[in-house]
Amino acid sequence: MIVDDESDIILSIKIGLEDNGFEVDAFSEPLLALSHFKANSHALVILDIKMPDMNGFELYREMRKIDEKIKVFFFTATEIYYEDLKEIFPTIDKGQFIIKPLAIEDLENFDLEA
Amino acid sequence: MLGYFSKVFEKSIQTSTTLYATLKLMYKHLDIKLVNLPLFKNTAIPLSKTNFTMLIAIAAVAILLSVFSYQYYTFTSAKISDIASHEVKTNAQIQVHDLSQILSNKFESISALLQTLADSPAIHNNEYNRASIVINTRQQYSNQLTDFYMWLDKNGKMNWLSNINQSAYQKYKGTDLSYRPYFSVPRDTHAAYYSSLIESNDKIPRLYISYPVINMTGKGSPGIFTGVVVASIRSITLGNVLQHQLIPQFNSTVGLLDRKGTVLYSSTPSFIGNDVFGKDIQSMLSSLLPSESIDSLNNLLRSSLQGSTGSGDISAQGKTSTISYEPVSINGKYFLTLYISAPHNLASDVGLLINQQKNFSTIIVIVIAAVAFGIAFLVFLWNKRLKVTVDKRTAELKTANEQLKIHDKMQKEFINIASHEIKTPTQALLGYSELLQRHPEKIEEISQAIFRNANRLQRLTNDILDVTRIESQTLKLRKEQFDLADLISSIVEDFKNDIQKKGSNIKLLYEPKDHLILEADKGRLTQVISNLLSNAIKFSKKNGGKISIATTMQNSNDNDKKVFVSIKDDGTGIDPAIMPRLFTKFATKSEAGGTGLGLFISKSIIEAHGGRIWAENNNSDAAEAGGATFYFMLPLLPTTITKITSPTTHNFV
Repeated sequence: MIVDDESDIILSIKIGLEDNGFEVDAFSEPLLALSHFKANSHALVILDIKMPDMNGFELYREMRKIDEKIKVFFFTATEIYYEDLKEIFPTIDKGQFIIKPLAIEDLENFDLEA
Repeated sequence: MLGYFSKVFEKSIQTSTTLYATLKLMYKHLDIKLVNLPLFKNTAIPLSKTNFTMLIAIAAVAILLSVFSYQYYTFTSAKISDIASHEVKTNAQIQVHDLSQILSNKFESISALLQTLADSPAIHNNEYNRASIVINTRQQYSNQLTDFYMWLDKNGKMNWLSNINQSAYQKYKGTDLSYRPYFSVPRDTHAAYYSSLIESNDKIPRLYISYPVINMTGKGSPGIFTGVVVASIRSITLGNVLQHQLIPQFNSTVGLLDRKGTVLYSSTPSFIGNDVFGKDIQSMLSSLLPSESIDSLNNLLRSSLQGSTGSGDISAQGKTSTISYEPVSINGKYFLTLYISAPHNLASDVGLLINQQKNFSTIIVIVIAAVAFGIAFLVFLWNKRLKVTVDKRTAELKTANEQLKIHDKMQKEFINIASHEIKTPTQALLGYSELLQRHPEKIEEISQAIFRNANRLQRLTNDILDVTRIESQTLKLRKEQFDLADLISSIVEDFKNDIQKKGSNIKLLYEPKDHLILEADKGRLTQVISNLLSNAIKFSKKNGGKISIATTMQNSNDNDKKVFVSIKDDGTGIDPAIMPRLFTKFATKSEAGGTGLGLFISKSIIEAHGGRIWAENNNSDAAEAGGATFYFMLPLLPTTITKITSPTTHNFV
């Protein structure tokens, strides 16, 4: 699952991931994404942080309530949020932050690492 | 001593309590009083409780000290007075003793002279001429005290009187003095005689010392009485001689009483010859002295007349005198009593000095206390002022620090925003250009996306460039005359098309009323209006949102014409946190997206045209989202304005 309020970004990543054989649910609205999220329904969630209505962290917290073990990557323009998030979720690793811009071909590597 | 200190302490405590009450009262009015002082005209600074307590403590200590020093001086003054009195007393005793010794010696020497006369052959043999010379010579030896010497024959008739001329001698020669005790007593007793006060034929009071002249005829025979030799001493001379012996500084006076209490000598001449216990003297004393003083004086006199030595103090009219007395004896025989009265003048002089010193030191202590109090008061006030200043500076620093923090936060925010705004289209461009190679069939869709994102990057670049221009004041306007109503209409049309394309149903309402001719940079105004509209769309409800644009004119007939443009939406409204810096750089919430540069640029453009831009929430209660309205005002050109449509007035400014 991929959630980003920028539709151009989700579209390019969705196509990129689908080319690599993944099944992708893409949402540009966090609330809509949350309503489609169920336990064990997705192998990986990629979240933008800066989004209207509900930011990436809030969405992450809600998703964790549904699926404790869900694997999450934050897709962000900066690392600034990492320090803040580390305080709330100490288990979060810096490697879980994907810094924009990202080449489509790198998507596969990330998945493998995860 | 302990009792004395406890008294002093008690007094000091009482005084301090009174002072505390006074100061407390003073303190109540301190604020007002201070404000009236020119020094503290604009700052009413009350003293703190601690400072006030310290002032009280200083005052209390000062009062304790001054009371203590006053008491101490009173105590020492009394002590010194005592010492001085004691000194006077001792001096009087020493003097009376010395004088009585002197007097004794003098009398004894006179007595010795008389004895030699009584034994002289000239007198024994009745050799008148030789005897007269011998008597005269002997008298010369003691003329300091004696008046004259006499030689009486066995019948008491005068044989010779010293120191008189021949004619006087002829007058007194043979005078019968046999009735006088100074003749009869030695005749009867064959012994020396010391008289009491005798008023002579010439009315001068005198004392007499006489010796019998005895012719020794053989061993064991009692001898034949042939006459007496007599020495006469004027009481006044005696007194004067004694008075001269006294040390003048003590202002003492001498008195002499004989064994019976008759006054032999007194500084009051009328007393001489009178009985000291007699009516005259006693009535005179009662007019001078209080009765208890007379009693003690009389007691003193009585004991002195018993031949004893002693002294006593007599007070009258606030002055005390010491009277010392000692008997004067001649050859062991009590003859008379000598008195020396010494007033305590010296003691009172010393007391006066000490009193002065006492008052002076009390004043000094009070002055020092007042100065200490004053200085402490000033120091406390300055301290307080300093504290106020420091507090003020601290508050300023705190504000500055907070501003720095805000600035820092804004900077961080900008980095976030800038990085998001740059990286998002870059990400899209990167992604699509890769996909273009993999999916050539999607070329149209992808190239549109690339175009959109390239455009977005360009807009951002332009915005940043604009900010740079604004800040370096190099923003140039290409002014031309045009109708603002037309411009708004065309922009609104574009936006409507855009909304339609995106499949949104936000409504844009604009009805041009008047021709709004102005001279402005068309491109820049387009930028402002587009920015305000896209903001309105961004914050509007995606479904059923409504945005209305209206224009209104002011001073339509004047030269100073203005147009007010309002863009009203019914979206989320302006966040109260953003409101105060709405038109500054980077004023955006990261969740909302955008660079936060648009309104800053818009404001700069409008102001560069001589206009004004502002915004408000439609609902004063920010919790109720009633949307927001943005306004801008621009000056119009003074041309005739033609109504385009039937006028419907909208007043929302």
